[in-house]
Amino acid sequence: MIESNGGAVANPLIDVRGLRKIFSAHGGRVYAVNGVSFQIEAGEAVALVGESGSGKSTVAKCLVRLIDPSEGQIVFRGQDVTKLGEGEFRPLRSRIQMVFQDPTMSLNPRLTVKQTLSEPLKLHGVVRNGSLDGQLGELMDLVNLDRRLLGRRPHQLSGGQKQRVGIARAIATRPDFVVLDEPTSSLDMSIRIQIIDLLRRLQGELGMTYLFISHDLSTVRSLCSRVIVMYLGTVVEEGPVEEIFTNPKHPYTQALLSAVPIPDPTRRHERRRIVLPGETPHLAAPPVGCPLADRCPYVQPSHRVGTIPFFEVGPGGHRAACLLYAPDGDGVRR
Amino acid sequence: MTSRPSALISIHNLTIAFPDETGERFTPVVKDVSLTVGRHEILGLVGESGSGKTQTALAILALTRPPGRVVGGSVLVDGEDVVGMDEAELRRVRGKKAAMIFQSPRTSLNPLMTIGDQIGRVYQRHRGLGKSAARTASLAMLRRVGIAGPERVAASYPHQLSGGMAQRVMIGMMVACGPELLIADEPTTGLDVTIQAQIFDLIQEVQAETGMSVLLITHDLGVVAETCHRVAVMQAGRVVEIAPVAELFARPRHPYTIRLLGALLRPDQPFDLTRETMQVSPETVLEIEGRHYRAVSVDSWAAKGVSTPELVEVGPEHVVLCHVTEVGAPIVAGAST
Repeated sequence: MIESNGGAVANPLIDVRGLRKIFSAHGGRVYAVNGVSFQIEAGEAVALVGESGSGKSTVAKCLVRLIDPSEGQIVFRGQDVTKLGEGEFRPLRSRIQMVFQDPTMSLNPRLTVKQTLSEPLKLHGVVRNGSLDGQLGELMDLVNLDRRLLGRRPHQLSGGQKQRVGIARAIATRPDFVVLDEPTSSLDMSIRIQIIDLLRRLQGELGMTYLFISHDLSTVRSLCSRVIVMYLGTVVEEGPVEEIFTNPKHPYTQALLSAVPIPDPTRRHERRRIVLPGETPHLAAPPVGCPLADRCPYVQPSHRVGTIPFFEVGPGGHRAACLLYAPDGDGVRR
Repeated sequence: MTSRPSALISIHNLTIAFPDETGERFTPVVKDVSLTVGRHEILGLVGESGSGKTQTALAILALTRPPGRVVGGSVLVDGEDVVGMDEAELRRVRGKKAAMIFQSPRTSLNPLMTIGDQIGRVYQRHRGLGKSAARTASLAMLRRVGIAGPERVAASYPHQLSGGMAQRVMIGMMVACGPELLIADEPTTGLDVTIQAQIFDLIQEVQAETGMSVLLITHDLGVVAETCHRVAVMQAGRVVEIAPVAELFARPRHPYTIRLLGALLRPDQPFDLTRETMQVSPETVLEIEGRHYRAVSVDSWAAKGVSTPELVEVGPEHVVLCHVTEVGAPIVAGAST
């Protein structure tokens, strides 16, 4: 397994320490998240990327407390929220919000847009007396929705409009921290870029901090400033977005990036695909050593034991949990 | 539009309609589509959801699901029109001439039969092999589509396979039919990006090896750029532009194509912060041999109720849906150069 060491930020908004989540299913156990640590500074847009089984969605759900972690701490503005009871956590709910993948599933089909958006405002006491309509109007303007749509129900809206409502609901209470769980993956491509533009603008205007959960690396590059790559329940690499995209170090990140199709036919013949044999396994036991060991072309016997530390591999806090980059030359490559 | 005499699939003015709730009025979902798939080529069919891509492809196998129906046009598969064919005639087409793989491979496989038996049946029925020869051929095909441990997979049931493995199996099963055309409808939906890359690499390898044609339906222009030879773009039931892949990306002429390409997110370039939101005029004026034609986006001409548009040749193998009412001078100078 991998342990986080260092890369510390003085005063992070979110500080995740040694997060673990073990699910019990079908009489067995699934080790979904195995000791994940990272920090997010206020105002950052951080991407958490990985494929199915990487544990990224489980981390997201722990952050907004849709599920409780098995172990570890989530510290929000210096306060360990994992220790809080439901009642104690409630005031924080307005500060930490989430936008879901599929707006058709996450919006109540029986509520009008107005009812959907009024709920968080009333619930968290953000409504200034008699100003609900004014606030709803402002909210609609913020997400570029026509105010006349307030009376509509979800089935009367397009996919893009629905996701704008989902975003409006999340930002209604002006949260500090928004977890975006694949917010564009159910949308058509021309709508996708509009939502990205909207999210970028909102971040600038409202100064929010984003954690963007995605497997879509093109979207990540266009929205985020920092990237955390997960594989099999652990963080394998993190760093500034341009570092990760132009100079990926972990063999998993390299394979992942090499698989992303490039929409430019003139570059077709430059592509070199790195294919890792096999598929992501399910973990019925906590991983020992490097989680990629069984699929990695550079694996050494020493990579299969103990815990894999992070090594600094580039500027701006670019680090990889891979022994190939150990300064004592444990690796065989570079 | 260009007529390709040697085309394997030749669709002319195809219109497919579905009835509304009352069952009286039919609404077209595919409108006057003309399109060819050449031999040995990979044609990409691109468009957003609801643009009519899948319905167009299903018509090649005469699989339009009632109450929807083909209300006009023809679909020639190797010279024979499948519109109006009876089931006995269609059996000669399906599998042998054209085969299709779908978005969710696991639901396309028979859940009660082992993978080996399912592929074996294909060899017995379509290739006339005996039982043991079919089994040997099945194992070879599983190996061919990159399945490690073919014996184990042959003995498995569909639910025991991952999504990527199931799609490999589907590709193998369809290729076993020896079709001249493989239709792949968003074959990697729901699969991880690394698995997606492997599936498209496999489709390209098999295509190159067997020389079959491929009709690849996708909404992902990255996949198109890396996989296809030619591309047809659909919008709201119509084909609005067809061109070789490099030509389409370099010189898109239809306003809808220009908009799609303008909305691309590049994984290989830093995000352009100075980028302005794409404002594409719904009309582009094209100059063809000294005359000007209007390429009008589907939404805008529906409102205007103007003449029926036609596919006009604007370059080698490059056609754009235009109004053939000539205009004297460019009204709007779009992105055409």
